[in-house]
Amino acid sequence: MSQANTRPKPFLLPDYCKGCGRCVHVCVQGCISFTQEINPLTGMVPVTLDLAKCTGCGLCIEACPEPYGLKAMEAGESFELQDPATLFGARRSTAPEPVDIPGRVIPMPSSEPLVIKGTYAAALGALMAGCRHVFGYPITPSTEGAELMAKLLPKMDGFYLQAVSEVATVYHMYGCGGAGLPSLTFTSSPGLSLMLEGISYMIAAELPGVFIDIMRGGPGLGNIGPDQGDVKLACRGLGHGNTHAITLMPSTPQEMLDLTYLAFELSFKYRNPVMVMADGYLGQMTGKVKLPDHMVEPGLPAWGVYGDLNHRGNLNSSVFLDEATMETRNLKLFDKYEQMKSEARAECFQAEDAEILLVACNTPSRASKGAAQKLREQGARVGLFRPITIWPFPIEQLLPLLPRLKQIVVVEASKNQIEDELRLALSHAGITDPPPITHVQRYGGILPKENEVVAHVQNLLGRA
Amino acid sequence: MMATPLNLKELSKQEELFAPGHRMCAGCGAPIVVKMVMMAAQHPVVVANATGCLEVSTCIAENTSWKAPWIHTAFENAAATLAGAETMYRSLRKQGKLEGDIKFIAFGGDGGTADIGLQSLSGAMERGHDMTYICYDNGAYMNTGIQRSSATPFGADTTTCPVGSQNPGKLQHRKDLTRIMAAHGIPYVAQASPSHWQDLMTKVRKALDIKGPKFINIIAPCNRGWRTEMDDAIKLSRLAVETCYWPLFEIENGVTRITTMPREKKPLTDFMKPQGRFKHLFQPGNEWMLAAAQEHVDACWERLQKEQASPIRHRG
Repeated sequence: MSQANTRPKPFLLPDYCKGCGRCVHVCVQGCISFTQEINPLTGMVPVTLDLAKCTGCGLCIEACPEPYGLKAMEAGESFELQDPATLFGARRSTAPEPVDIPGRVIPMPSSEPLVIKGTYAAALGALMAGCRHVFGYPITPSTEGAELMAKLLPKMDGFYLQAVSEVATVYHMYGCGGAGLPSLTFTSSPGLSLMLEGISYMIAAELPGVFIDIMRGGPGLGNIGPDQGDVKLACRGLGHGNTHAITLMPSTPQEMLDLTYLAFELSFKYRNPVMVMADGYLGQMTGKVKLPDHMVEPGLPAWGVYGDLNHRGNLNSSVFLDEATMETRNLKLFDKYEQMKSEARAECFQAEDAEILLVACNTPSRASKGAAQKLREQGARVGLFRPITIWPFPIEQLLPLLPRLKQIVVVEASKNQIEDELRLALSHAGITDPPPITHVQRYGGILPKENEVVAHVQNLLGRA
Repeated sequence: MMATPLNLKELSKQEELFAPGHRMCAGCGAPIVVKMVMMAAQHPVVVANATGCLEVSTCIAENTSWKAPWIHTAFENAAATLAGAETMYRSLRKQGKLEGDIKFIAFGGDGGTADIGLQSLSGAMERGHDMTYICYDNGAYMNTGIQRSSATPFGADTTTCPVGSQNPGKLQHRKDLTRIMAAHGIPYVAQASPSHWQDLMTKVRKALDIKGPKFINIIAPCNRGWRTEMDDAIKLSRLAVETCYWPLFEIENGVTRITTMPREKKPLTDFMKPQGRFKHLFQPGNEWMLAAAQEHVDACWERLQKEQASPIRHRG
């Protein structure tokens, strides 16, 4: 046997050939040529080999830039339908496997309650939860939270980064969450609209992040009055695709702190963004706020694309070109959404024996509470049901109250957005004949008032 | 139509397109700028206004200060909105449904122009819409309460780059928006100041007479954000010109011309000293920041003079 024949001839894995043509140009025998045929799996146009004249010179193998492209074929070797890993061995990596570094809970000395506004309380809640990275684009009435963070964070080895737009903000958070670190933004309604695309990306890539939306009057530029018109965005919107996120609805400055703190926990537990939705009053409202007795030093999850050797192999992405893989990712997300339902929370006030149940969130729930008390004094059995999570809707907490109810009154500062969540939850729970649902609503930066609720209920009672 | 000569006597006889009674803060530079721009316009104009101080204070509910067709739009989209309107007018003219010359002016603050609105502005300039974009630069997001913008000067104190033990103010230099727009190769780019009103109005007239996209960057002192006396707007904008912090120049078809040469170039501290936002720079330990700010202004001024001396044409 001559020496030339002992040299191995090349073979090609068409799925790994991008048709760059380097081999075509180096082959002196003209064995390799371009084709017109598109590989259906990759969408590329691989070259073809005609080995009749091949001398086994090996120039083409040297020229191929692809790790799995042209390879020398040993005698008797078969490559068809082989996993490249079995032919070439597993990819070598010297990087150690990343491990989960758990967070640390640090006890805090007890302190006197503070009297601060809602956005400040939320900012403190985030600091207590270990958030040191805040991104934002100023928008009234949420800006003060970001301003406080800009003052405090440099002293705590954190940073506040002001983005050039809300679109940039949400992707700063995508990056920060992708690195496995907690991040936060303060925004208001028009800003949230701009962030929706990024939130959808975060959900698909399973990245945490906390959004504090101080809702203001809309649509359009609207005004800076209190409103609840973004509930539909948080519950039914959040960008394109099958997206959901736990949506918390605080009603006091204390809750602005507590629920923001909780939001970070949930955000990392489910690797999903969490929304904290407050109306404009809550952002500005000053109230007594007690700090928690502990704070968290965040750990580092194994999945983050943290910039060290351990995390080098990690990948955070929301692109799944293969439809089947995208469907699998969707199913995984639905699984998570199901689990999130266990996080549903609600507060009941005088609801055990109520015949008329007010349903309200945020500041309108405070007016409703007052109305319920007033109506009780007048002898009417009125209670309040306050969803703390509007998504998932706390239907399990509502169901036991239903049998006694004669009327449900939804009090909200939007057109049916909270009422629709209630109706949808009732419908999903198989309640086909709920008690009659009426509502007290104001729009455009005005909240329903206590006396409006009282008058509405008195009207209902008069009719009954 | 004969243009009104640019002298006070004749101009005062003209109807003002920007009426008084708006709710801009007392002493604000922006309405002065807008008044001059609108006064310079000698044709029917359509105005688009990005969200910002100017928009929220000049159009409250049904009350408006604008005696011209005026479109309010989102923060990031004054240029895109006006480009849409301009395209529509162009189409109407083509169809023979519209005659006469209509001018298109967009107003945006430095936030809505240099930051969130840069993308749509750049797009409109590149596509070549026949419009004039006016940026009134007050050097921060004043409408939401003095947050830093990319046009905030080096060393300034704002609520999102607050001066404290960890931070001596904004540590980045101002984005040179005028030159960014010049790099688009558009027919006319200029920088103006309300202290030099004839220069400002001449530039606006020139811009409006040129077909294609035009950009004028105008300094507009904000006494709330700059922490100055309420009646300092014109004094400060003059100091900005005299210290060469805000040189007055125009770039017409790629040829740079400095329109006002300061008699003597004053030190930058003359401009900074009266402003509370730079107060901390005059404390011991921050001398390097004053030096760095001066150095940056000097370098920019020198480059501008060189460009004037040896004009480079950006387009054929």
